[in-house]
Amino acid sequence: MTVVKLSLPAVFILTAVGFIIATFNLPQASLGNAFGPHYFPMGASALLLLLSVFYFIRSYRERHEEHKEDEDIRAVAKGRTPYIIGGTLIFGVVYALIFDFVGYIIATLLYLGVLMFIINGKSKWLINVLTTIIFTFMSWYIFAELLNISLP
Amino acid sequence: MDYGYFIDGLMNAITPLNLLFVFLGGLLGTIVGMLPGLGPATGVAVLIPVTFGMEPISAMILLIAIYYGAMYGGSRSSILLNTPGDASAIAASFDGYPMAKKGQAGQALAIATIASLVGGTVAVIGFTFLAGPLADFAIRFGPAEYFLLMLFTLSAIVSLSRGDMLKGFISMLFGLVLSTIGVDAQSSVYRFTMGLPQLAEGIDFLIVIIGIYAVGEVLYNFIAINRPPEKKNKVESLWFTREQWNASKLPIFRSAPLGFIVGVLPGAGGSIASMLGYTTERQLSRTPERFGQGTAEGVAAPESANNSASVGALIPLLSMGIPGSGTTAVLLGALVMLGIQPGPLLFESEPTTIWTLINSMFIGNLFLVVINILLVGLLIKVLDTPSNILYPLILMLGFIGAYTLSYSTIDFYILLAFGVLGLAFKLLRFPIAPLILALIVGHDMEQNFRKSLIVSDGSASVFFSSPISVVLIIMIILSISVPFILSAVKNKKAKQA
Amino acid sequence: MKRIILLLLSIAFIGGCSAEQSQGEESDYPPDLIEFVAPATPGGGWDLTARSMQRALNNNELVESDINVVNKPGGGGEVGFQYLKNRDSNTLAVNSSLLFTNNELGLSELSHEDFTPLAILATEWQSIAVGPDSDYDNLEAVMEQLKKDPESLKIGVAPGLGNDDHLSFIQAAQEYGIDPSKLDFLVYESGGEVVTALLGGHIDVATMSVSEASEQYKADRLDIVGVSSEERLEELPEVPTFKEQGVDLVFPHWRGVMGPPDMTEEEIAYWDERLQQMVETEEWQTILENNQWDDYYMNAEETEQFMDEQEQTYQELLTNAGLTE
Repeated sequence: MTVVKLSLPAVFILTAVGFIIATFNLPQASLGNAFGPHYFPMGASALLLLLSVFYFIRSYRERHEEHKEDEDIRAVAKGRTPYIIGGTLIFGVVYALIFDFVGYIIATLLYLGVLMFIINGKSKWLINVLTTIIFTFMSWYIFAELLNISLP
Repeated sequence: MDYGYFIDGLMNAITPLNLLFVFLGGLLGTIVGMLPGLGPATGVAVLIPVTFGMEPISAMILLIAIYYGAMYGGSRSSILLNTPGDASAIAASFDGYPMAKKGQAGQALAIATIASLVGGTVAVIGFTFLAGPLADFAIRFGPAEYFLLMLFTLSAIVSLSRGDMLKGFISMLFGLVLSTIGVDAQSSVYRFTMGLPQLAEGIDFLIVIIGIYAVGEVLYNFIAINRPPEKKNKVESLWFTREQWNASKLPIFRSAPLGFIVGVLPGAGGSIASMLGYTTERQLSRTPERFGQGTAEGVAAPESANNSASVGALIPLLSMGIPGSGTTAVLLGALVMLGIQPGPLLFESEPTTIWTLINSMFIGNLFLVVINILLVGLLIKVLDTPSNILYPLILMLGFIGAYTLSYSTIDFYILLAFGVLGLAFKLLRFPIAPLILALIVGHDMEQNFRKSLIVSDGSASVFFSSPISVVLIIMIILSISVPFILSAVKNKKAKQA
Repeated sequence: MKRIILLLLSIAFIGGCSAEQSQGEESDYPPDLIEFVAPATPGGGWDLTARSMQRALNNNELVESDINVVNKPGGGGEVGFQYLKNRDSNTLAVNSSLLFTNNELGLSELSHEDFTPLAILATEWQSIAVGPDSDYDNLEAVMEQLKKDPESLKIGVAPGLGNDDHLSFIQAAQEYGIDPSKLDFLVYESGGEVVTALLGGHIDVATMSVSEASEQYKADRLDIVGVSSEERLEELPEVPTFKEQGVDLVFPHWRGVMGPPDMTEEEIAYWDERLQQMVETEEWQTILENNQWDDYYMNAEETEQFMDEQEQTYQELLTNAGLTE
């Protein structure tokens, strides 16, 4: 619980630190004020760092108090939810990797199909397969043919 | 105003063919506006080849109908699914989605449509009478004024997160930091692009919107997928109540001119207009605590502002040939290809064209109301789709939408990353709007700040040197301090009681 | 190819339909589907060029294959050019001088030698404009003032440094004996914003293409003090050229088209023929006129030579602007 709550401010802190370091490494501008490109990112990330550290400490102090969002956070780790969310993300990356090579239709059939089975299980296979096929071809038709948007 | 041209224009606008184009454009715009990531810009761009063989005036009517039709459609998905398709539709989700959850989706869609109609119509009237003076007003906005306007928008949006200002500020700063990715225009220095040419122009805020809202919302809903299905609130009615109308009347009519003026300013646009419409009404409301809980005026105000801003943006486009947004830039390109050269001369040399357009916009807004009211019943059905089928499909639409923005799979990774971030924001109750808005205006805000200082050779006095700046500074101070003063007064009262 | 496979697959999936486009093996050039890459978002100059070509070629039946315009924005053309590099000869891309400048500025590994030049199609001309009540109502007055104090006038440009709008001014200033690295440029998002800033008096001078300035000029809301063409322009006969005003410079802002590396002789010959016919069509002439472009056609061989010369010029310009060492 505490870990989840602290991870978001931790991401903010890391981002801020990352941007501050990157700002130090920016080349100087060859035109105009040499540090013109530096001031704004530096200021914004420094403020972000300050406030997220403050928030991090506050969350840490309040870690034993019960908040209204706690039920949601617990639910993330319950039952099949972690598998569904994890599956969506992992196969999302796979989708991005294969998209350009196998093309829109095959990639989408695979990804959506896998997702439907992860979410609904094998028992509803017919609905899963039908939804996947109908959506894939309908969306392809609408985008590629009617709207003339090039999908690979 | 010359009535001869007005009549000519009206006659042109109501030929059956042109009526058909207004209708088709409006319908197509509504559909395109509803889909995540597909906005008016894409809608107009893909139809350009279709208009090649058409009469220039008919083509212009068609393209512009898509443009304002998309503004109607944009709020549909915000209200029903909490997944705005475009930046200007975000504000409609603040109260629209809570309304839908309460079973008032029908009311929310209906009031949004009527608000859009009023906003659109007020703006067309404004366009008719004020195009010239407003264009002159807009050019008085220099870098300093733009910087202050953007600062004002950010302060207004942060003040929304009154429950926890700290979270609001962190969210905004995170957006600002991300907005610095990409080439720095003033110096051509590439910042934080990690060598990826796709990042040279920064992270596209539409990807972030789709990622945080659509993907994040889907992931968030996966949490509930194991729970026994909540008892769904039955959709009460497809039309708003008298009380809802009474509460929304004033906000609608106040937001329309506000949105119109913001829309006229090049670069400001619908996202700023709808946010300001929402925050203004919340500040003015006697019961601000109801905002965010699903109140009709919280849907009506931003929709009215957004639609009138979209018409307002046509003023600099047509009267000066200056596009104020990505979408109007696409429109400009299309018009030039059709042989219509927008600019100061267009009003003098081709008044009939302008009047045809104005009249067709009046008609188009009426058509759109009919289309959208008829669609309400159909769209509500979306809510009956079982969530285990609906959410994967929204996810896929998000992917397609992201792909159409720059045709690159790199955006898929960004999309997923922001989906996770969106989930975390939702879990920890961080406000999302400040992040998005900061990402949208952050880049321009910095550039305008730097340009102001180049103009003044480094002196800060440039920010106080015009009446417009002074007014904006006062508004910024007010928007930050008013919430504090109000809550102080309330505490005092509570103590006395 | 990929599309055809997809199409076949999809037809197989739906089942029962007869497949028409069932050519599995490579047919002769040109292929059934040609792709034009516009390395920019819809609405810009590159997009306009690609879509105009699509229109002129297909409507006049010069090319019978389907032509698709594909937008690949990002990195000042880099994304689109990278894409083109890995395609086969059914893909072409529009280009402009950014092809050199990106490389010189260290933003890109690619140069014109990585591609097959096919043609230069058209050019726009550059203009320098001032507000209607400006104290500097001719090019010499502007340049004299900048010579006295290079920071005294704020110059508006869009959308980034190192583009033709910027470099044409650099070269003009340099011809006049001004150190261009001292000039104060204000960079705006788009040409439209530069015009607005000039009308509102937020900048003193603006450099942009003629088409961006001419509407306001005709309405008498700003003043064009010079154009970069060899001779005065037909649509603006009263505006003097740079040359007439003591700045010895002709600066085209050209747009061309190129293919992926290693195109065959026949393929180049095919496009030489078709493009030459295209620029003569009435449709193309109308497009040029609507956009205020000038015909600037060069065939593949001439283009290759022209590219080599241009590369030299841009190399020097960027160094003088202070953008490269």
